[in-house]
Amino acid sequence: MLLSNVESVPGHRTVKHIGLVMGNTIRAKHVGRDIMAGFKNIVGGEIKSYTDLLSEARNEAIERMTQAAEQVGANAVVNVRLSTSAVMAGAAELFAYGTAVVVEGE
Amino acid sequence: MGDLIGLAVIAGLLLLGYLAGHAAERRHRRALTRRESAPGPALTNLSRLPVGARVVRTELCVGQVVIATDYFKSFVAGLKTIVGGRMRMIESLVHRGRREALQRLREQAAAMGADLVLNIRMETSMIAQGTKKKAGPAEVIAYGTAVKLAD
Repeated sequence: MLLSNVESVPGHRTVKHIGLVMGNTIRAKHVGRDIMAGFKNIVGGEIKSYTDLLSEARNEAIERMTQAAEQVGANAVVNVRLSTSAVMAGAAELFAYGTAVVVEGE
Repeated sequence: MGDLIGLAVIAGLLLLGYLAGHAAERRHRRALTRRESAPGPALTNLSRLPVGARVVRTELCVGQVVIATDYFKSFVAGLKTIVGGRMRMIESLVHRGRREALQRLREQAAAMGADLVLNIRMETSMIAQGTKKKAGPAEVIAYGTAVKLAD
């Protein structure tokens, strides 16, 4: 599955537009990670455990979007957009969406 | 007595935040400057390839970071929300986060041998709720389509 966040896959021709596909996941952080994060709020800097958590969650959202695209017979998703939002205290939603298309090499 | 201990703890946290935060920020800035000068793909927010470019490979790349402010800065920021005005300390934090996310994107694209990255988008969000007096950690993401061109 080819993914791109421009209107087409560079070097390929879009032959069919299938439609919008999306994937999301909501993750809560756990207490152990929160304690470390609380400490980081004192000294400042990157909170590695949150970066890893969100990175993993984002990959999952992208993976779900990819699966949705496979189900509708696409071989690429173009114009992919990613977003993150805090849906409630202590939980974040990772969301990925794009247009499923069929492309062929030029 | 209890009040005094409370004050001492806050003063200690402020001092720790100031010293550790300041040192970490300087270290991070230096590291960023070094990494940014390394060879790598051109970053653009254009969606079209240059005329006549032939594509070998393409891939969606994402760079991300969660970054927190230190105790001293969030304390000063809390005071700032009373008097208003420019929050330089928070500006520098978000700017640093953006540079880091962009740099991670660039390093990921460099790993696949990309020559340029198209249509870069950046987004910042508060992933955890801060309290009224303290800013919560912010997540910065940068993503784009990495392209490797034929020579």
